[in-house]
Amino acid sequence: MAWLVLGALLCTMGSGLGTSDLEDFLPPSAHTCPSKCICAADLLSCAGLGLQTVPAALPTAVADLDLSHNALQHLRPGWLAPFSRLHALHLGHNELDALGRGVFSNASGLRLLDLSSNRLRALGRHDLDGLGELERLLLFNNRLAHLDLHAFHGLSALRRLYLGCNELSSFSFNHLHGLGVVHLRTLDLSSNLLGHISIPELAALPAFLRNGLYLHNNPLPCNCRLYHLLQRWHQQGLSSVRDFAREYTCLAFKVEASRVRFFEHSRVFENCSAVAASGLEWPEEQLHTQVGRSLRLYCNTSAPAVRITWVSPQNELLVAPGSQDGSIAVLADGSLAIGKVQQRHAGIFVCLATGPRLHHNQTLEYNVSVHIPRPEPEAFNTGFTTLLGCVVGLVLVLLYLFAPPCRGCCRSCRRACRSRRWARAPSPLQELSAQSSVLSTTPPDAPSRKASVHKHVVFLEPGRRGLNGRVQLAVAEDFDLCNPASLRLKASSESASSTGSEGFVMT
Amino acid sequence: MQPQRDLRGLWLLLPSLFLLLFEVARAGRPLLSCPATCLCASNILSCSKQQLLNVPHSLPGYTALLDLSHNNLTRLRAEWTPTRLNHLHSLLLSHNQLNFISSEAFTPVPNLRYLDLSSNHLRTLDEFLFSDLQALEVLLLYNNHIVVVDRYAFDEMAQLQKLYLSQNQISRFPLELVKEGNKLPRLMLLDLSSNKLKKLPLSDLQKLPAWVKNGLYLHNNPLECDCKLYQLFSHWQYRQLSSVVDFQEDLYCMHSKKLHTVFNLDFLNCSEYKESAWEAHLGETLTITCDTKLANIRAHGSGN
Repeated sequence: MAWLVLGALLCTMGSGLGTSDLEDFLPPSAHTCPSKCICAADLLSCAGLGLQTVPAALPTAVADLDLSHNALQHLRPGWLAPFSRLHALHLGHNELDALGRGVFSNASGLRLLDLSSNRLRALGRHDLDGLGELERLLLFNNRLAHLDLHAFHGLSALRRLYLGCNELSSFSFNHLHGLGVVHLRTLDLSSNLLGHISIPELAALPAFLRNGLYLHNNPLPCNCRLYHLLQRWHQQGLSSVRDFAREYTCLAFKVEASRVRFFEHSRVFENCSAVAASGLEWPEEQLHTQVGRSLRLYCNTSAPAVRITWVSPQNELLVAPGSQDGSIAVLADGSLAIGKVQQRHAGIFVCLATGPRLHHNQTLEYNVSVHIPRPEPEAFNTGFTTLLGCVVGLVLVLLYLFAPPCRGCCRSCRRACRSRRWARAPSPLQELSAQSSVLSTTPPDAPSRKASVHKHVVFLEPGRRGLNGRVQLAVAEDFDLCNPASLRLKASSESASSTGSEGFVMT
Repeated sequence: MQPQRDLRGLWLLLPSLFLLLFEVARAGRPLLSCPATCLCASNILSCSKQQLLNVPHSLPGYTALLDLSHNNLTRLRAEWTPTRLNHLHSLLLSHNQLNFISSEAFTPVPNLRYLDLSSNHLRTLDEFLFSDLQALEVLLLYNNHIVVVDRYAFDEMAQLQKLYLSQNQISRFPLELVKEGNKLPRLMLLDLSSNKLKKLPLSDLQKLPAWVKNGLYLHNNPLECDCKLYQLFSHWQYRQLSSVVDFQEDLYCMHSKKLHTVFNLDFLNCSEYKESAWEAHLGETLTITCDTKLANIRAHGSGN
């Protein structure tokens, strides 16, 4: 009996477990998803869970694995073997103090590796083996003091390397610790302990890397050569120097506390002569050409090279047969041929030559300037005619303003009057006669300028004196414009016909 | 018309012009560099896990990656960064408490390529919310509380390749995102797993090209058991599409309040799935398009 009751109870319980209200349906987490992690299609996020080891059964189809903000201390070699589709691995903000040989060896498809904000102290020769497709490597905010000479060998596809906020006291710019230079665009060495940098090695870096080479906030010694180099990069507008100009520091004295922001306080380089600047950098070959012309660039290596690769000013990697748009061809002998030069071909072309006879890869730069061909020289420069037109217009305007007699412009008149007053005694105005209706063409014994003041015909409004509409005029041989109130008028019938009928009011 | 008066006016105008130009030039240069609560590695700003309640002030204009994840942000206002961040490629805002995003929040970051808004408290996606992000390639919105996705929320995002909407409360399948003649021509991954989808537009889904179906994740939803559903997913399984093959155990449907695997619906007496054969008559021309699951457009890694 008890068994029956128990059985019935179990049955009801079983059916109860089987049902679920559709309304309150909560989808159970994916079968393959580890507990507390979030699985979203090909993303797997186990961030911020305080994990001390990598969870055991992770879904293998994952493409982006986020294990950041945990407490991971070690990584097993070969732990990435099951993840054939992995292309991004986030291990930032953990407690990794060392990597180990071949820790990433099976992650051949990895493109992004974030190891920032950990406790790494050094990078060994084989720590980063097997990352042939890695494009971005974040190692900032660790305790890296030592990098093996070949720490980055094998990272042939690396574009961006962030080593900022570490404890590096030296870095080999000559060898770049095995880095492939061809694709590298960003090398962040800011906020380290770099005290000595080889200036010639730095100057020898290709142009496309200089723009992404961050060296600010290091205790570099205040050195004339360094200053000149960085000053030149600043002038060239390289963003790595321009954006961080305020943060470039050097040690004025050999004491840590004597850091000077040398772009802001350049007095520390007062004694540096300009002579020191010359011969610093690898000479760039300067080439000038015009739009539409053809151009051929030869990589002039010191010894014959087996393989020559070029990088265009647009940061495109050029190998045979040529650029993607077909405008630039790479020929069999390694030279570059541009059939029709365009404006976009202007800039620095870099060739990278490798070969058994070259001790190390040689890079050479060619600075191509493209000019727009000038049209046929004109008979006269239109610019000048425009300028002449402007000047003539201006003169005419000024003439209009200052030349004719008008009360507002009487300054010049007054001047003339003043000088005239002293020159001769004023003649009486009353001396009007019929004869004088004809203006005497010969001016009195006075300069022509004053004649204009003397000979004036004044027309008065008709009907003023009630003379049947006839125009009155007053003619004066000697007429004092400066003292118009003394003007006496006399009507002259003869002159009416000879003059116009337009009324001109003398105010 | 006194020449003296004119000159005076000119003398007043010129200095004010110079002052204006000076101010404009000054505004262009960033005066401050690394915000106090962030770690700056050249153009990467790492400000995660700093218990931030607001976005730090004065973000430098050269910032390429901004990590604000694992903080306590609740709102993304229109002026969250007064300076335009033209070089910002990646914006990480996961693991915050964001419940509001201004419609103008993304105007200062026009070149954004990767946006992570996962693990927040978002409820709705309003129309044109992301329309300023015309260069965005990857958008992470999983693990929010999203109930409503406006039909125009993802308008004008011509470069969008991957859209993750899993672990939300979405009940309407946003067909407009994948349908022919759509506005998201490069969308190769649409993750709608772990939501509240019940009904799917099965005939429309059947017509999608394989490379879209390959990235269309629908597992972990309370789908209604249906023979058509069985046929659809069986076909996808036959074609080895990742969205089905990688999550086979999680593709289930609901019938009479019970969970069933979508690949075995015998109780509904569905006809067994058979790959349809091509039929042609002698002399006819038959065109077979290669409907490959490999996308013509390869997705590149997020950001730069």
